[in-house]
Amino acid sequence: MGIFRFEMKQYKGSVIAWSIGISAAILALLSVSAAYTKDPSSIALLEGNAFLEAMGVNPETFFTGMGIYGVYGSFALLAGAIQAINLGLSIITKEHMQNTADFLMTKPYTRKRVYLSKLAAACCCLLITAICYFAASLWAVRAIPGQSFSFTIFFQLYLLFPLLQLFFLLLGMAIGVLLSRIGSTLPLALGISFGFYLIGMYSSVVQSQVARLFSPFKYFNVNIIQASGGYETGYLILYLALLTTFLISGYTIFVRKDMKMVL
Amino acid sequence: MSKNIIEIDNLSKFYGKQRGIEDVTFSVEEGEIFGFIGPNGAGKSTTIRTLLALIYPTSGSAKIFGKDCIKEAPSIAQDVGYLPSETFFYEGMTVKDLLNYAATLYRKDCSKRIAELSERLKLDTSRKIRDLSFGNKKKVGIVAGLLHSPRLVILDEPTSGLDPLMQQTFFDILREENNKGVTILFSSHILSEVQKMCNRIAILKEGKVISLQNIHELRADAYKKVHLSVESNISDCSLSLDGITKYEKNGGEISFIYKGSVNRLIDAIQPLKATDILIEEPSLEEIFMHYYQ
Repeated sequence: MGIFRFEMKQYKGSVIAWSIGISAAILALLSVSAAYTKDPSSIALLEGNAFLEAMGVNPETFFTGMGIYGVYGSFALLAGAIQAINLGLSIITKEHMQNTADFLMTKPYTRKRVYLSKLAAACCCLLITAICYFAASLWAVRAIPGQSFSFTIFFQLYLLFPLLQLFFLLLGMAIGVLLSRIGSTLPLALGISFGFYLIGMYSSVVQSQVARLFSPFKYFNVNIIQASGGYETGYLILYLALLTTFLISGYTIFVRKDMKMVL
Repeated sequence: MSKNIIEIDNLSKFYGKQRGIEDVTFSVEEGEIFGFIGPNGAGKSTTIRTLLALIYPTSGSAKIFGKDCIKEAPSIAQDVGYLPSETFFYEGMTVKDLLNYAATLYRKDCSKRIAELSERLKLDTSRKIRDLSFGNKKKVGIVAGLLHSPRLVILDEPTSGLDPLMQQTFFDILREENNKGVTILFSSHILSEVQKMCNRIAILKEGKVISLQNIHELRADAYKKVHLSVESNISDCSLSLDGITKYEKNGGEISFIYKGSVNRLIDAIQPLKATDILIEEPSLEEIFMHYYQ
């Protein structure tokens, strides 16, 4: 419990800032966009728009509450991914960067327990953000006038946020274990998140299934979720396989790795 | 017969092809203050870090309290206090919060001990770690290493950054702990510290233990520095005695290094009509250099 509570305390400020920021952003975006839904004739204007194609926007559903949520939610996904991977990287590498590994690892805790305590604390931090994002999203989507609301579709779209955060958290922790001496985690977190996001945009533009495999942002297609009310099985399996790989590889290396000497 | 608190058997650690330590073997008995000396890079810290399961050995084994250092590291850590050569903590925390966090990790109420040690070391626990000097961070390290009343204290170059008065207080604390039965493994390249504190020492050279001796035996077997003042009008005052090296004569002042029987030395000096004589115990530095040359 000691390490878990300590880590929660360490990231308190950061979690509050990210939670407020992402929730406020989705509230603002959905509130402003609510006006579009009043004019369905605008669909024609979106046909053939390359940027919207890259964003994976379906003009048929864009002017519905869920359609707008699906599109603007992808910006929230990007922000959530940056928060998660940065948290994953820093919660592991800070012990090396601040040279506190000797302090922590000579205490009566197994490496396994240290890693799992850190993982639990990070998951808890992200859960707080996810709950705030859920409340803000639900309130904003319900506030869009004249729309039929399906909680099942909304929840499946919302669930992409915590699912991707978990993916990026475990990826960040695995990278953090491998490259323990990272000067600053944020540039790396931004680079990886934007990199995957751009690959996802590229895969939408060229309709490349291969490129889609390399962007977790595209594992869950919002248009398919809105149309069929479910996730694609193949990509769900790929997501789970990668999640398991990151978890096991990060954990295994952390448990067996030599703690570098302070120089 | 005292039982061994630390048992190291043919312990080796290689970083790829680079040697850390090789076939290190020694044991430390309960209640002993054991010195571990060698220059930088000799493998002192590597041995200590392996004992603490911070790094994994390439081969060999190490036991503390009869338990395997790697497999039973958490259980061992409950009774081990460690002071690294350079102390680093979470910079944004206050000293008090950090020490309380350390106590939480040992699952013990250490508030009395923290207060007592902080007072003796004149440590202000309300300050943030980032505002502390190197010496004050070292004091935090000492309190953090001793707050849970460990049975074994492992010190890796412990006095760097402490002023002489604080070093004295620190040594007093260590002696008190030792009198209570605490075993101490003391690694240093400052040999006077080891000389002052330890019962036995291991000398490390290039990753290997080259000598393991009782500190008194070590001195007895070693060289002595002799300074003589003789009547300056004695022209022929050379000494013909086996075991004399570095013989220097400057007017009435003679100095040399001697290894052998002290009685034979006194007999040899007698005809010189010495007005003063000074026989110095060799410092560990000199003994140490003997092994290194």
